[in-house]
Amino acid sequence: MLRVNEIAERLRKGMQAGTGAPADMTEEKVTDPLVITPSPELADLNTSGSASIDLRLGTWFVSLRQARMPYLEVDDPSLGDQFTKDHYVRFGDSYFLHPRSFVLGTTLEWIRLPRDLAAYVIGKSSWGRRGLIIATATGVHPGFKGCLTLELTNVGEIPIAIKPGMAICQLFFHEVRGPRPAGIDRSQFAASRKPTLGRIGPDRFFQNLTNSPQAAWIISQAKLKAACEAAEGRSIEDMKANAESLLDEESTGYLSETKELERQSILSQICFALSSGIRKGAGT
Amino acid sequence: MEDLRDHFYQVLAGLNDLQDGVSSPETIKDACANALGDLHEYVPLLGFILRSTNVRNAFELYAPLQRLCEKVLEPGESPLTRKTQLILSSEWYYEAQVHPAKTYLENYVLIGLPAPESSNPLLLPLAGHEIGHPLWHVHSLRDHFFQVAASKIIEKVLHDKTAFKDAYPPEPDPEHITPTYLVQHVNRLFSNGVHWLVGQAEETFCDFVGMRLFGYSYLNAFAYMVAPRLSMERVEQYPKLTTRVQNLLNGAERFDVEVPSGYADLFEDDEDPDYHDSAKYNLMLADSSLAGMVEELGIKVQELLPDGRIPVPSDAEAQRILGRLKYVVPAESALSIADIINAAWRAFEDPDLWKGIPEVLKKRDHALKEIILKNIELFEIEHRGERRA
Repeated sequence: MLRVNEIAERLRKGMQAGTGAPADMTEEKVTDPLVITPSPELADLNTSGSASIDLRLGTWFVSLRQARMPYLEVDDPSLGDQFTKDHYVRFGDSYFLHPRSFVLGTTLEWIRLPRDLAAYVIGKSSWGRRGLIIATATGVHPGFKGCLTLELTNVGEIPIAIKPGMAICQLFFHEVRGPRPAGIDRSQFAASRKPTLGRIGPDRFFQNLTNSPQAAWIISQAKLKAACEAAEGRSIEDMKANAESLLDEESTGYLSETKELERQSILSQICFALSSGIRKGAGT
Repeated sequence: MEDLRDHFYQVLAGLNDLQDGVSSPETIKDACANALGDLHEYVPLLGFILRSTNVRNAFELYAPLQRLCEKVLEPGESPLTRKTQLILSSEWYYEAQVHPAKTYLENYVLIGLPAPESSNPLLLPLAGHEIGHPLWHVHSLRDHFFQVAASKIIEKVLHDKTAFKDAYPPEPDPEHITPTYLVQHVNRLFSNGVHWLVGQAEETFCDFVGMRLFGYSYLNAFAYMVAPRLSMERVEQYPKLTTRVQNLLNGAERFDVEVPSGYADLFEDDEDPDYHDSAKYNLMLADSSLAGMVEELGIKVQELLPDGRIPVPSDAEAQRILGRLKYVVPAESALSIADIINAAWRAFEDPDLWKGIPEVLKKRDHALKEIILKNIELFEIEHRGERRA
């Protein structure tokens, strides 16, 4: 874990990135900066002796509509907009979070993590003691860029007025060791200023458990055909763009009679399998 | 909403004061017609105000734009006494609009950006054009430029009396057409021409205001909205599109604004209305007289928006902000929203932007919009921190 004065030093260097001016003429140019903006007071950080940086509440919220559907089917990505509602709260106004209510908020700060740092979002104990629980999904991966989505719940007995700009949570930083591969930002929330639901990504293990025998058969046949076509020189990208071309006549006929959701699931699993890599020569 | 409600309470009280047998039928009829006329104007405004609260809008734009309106329209007033109120909303017409001031909404500036892109900060410079309309109104420029327009049109007529005679066969022979005669008859003969010319002058003035406030990005936003577009019949109160663009290029020189390469080639004229005789002649007079007013319009914008009061967009500052955007972070300490939007357009045009950052590149335009709106919010946060005037 990094001490806050180390973070302050990296933030100071990060403030110069892209401006054409190195933080200090004797320093090398920072190519992968840590940035938090609006920036915390660096002078205060240097003397605080703590290990975290406070973050503030942003202006956008996303609440969940309660009566739009009987239950939430998490693997249907098209449902997100149907049960969420955006809210904007001006500086000086409040969002009232009622007991046992849940809302997504964001940090006011836009954050850019370099590839050698990860972070954890933790609530502030002073809020927790008043019933406001903040951030249940707390990991921030290296390379993250954007505002952090916060999950806010009132587990107390009275409504809580939360206000954009107030300190809401804290961020602890950890160094990530090992080689630094390019493009390692795993987050789906890159470069967003509003809270986002994100999608629950394809989970091959889970899908293998739940696929019908017919779906499993179609996927396995498509993978075999993809392996053959890859061996003959067809690109993976082309196959992903035309996943249906990997289906034989029988599979196509079966899918034409299934529900659209299942059909999409099977095609996306084929694409996912292609992305994960297919064994050249398999099936020959 | 309260101002509107108060106005209609007054209208209602006036109607209630009317009494059968006491007020004449004509008075009652006129009062009812006026009330219906007010309602006719009021209902679209309600829709406009309602749309201003829609979360598709980018509310981050509001406070900086409100402050810009105050600085433009009430330069001498302190923040404690300024009255200007901005309502920033969206339009179902795919164009930016400003709604004319109503007597019961005095001091309100109602600007609508096209609904599908009301959260697109790249189009914000169009609001600069729309702020020009209340500026034109506040300084009663119509009165002054009406006189200028009439005299320009008379000059044109005197320059080619034969064309005048062809358009108005019953009028005197060319040798009897004198300046005195034309001044006496200008309202009768050239009402349309003067009206159109004043409208064209106002639009040109507003283009210059947009360019003075936003610089390079105004030219880009303007092209984004109108080039290319399907051919339509031209509206006479606007200059021909190619003339308008030529005036923009002249303005760019005056306001020291870089012009995107190949800019003029993006635009084509709409079709002129199918006018004949005097109407066609009036349109020709308006179109050909505008050039003689452009210089004065530019000078007027410079007078009303001096450099010391409204920050002049700075290309160096836009480049500094662009440098931060390349790291996918907003830039601190921006001097104006114009500089932020100018940097946004530079980023939008950069084919190499974020090429090494695949997770951002795959949603490039969305990410650019998000980061620019965050940058504008940061600009506002810094303003509140320092409470700059």
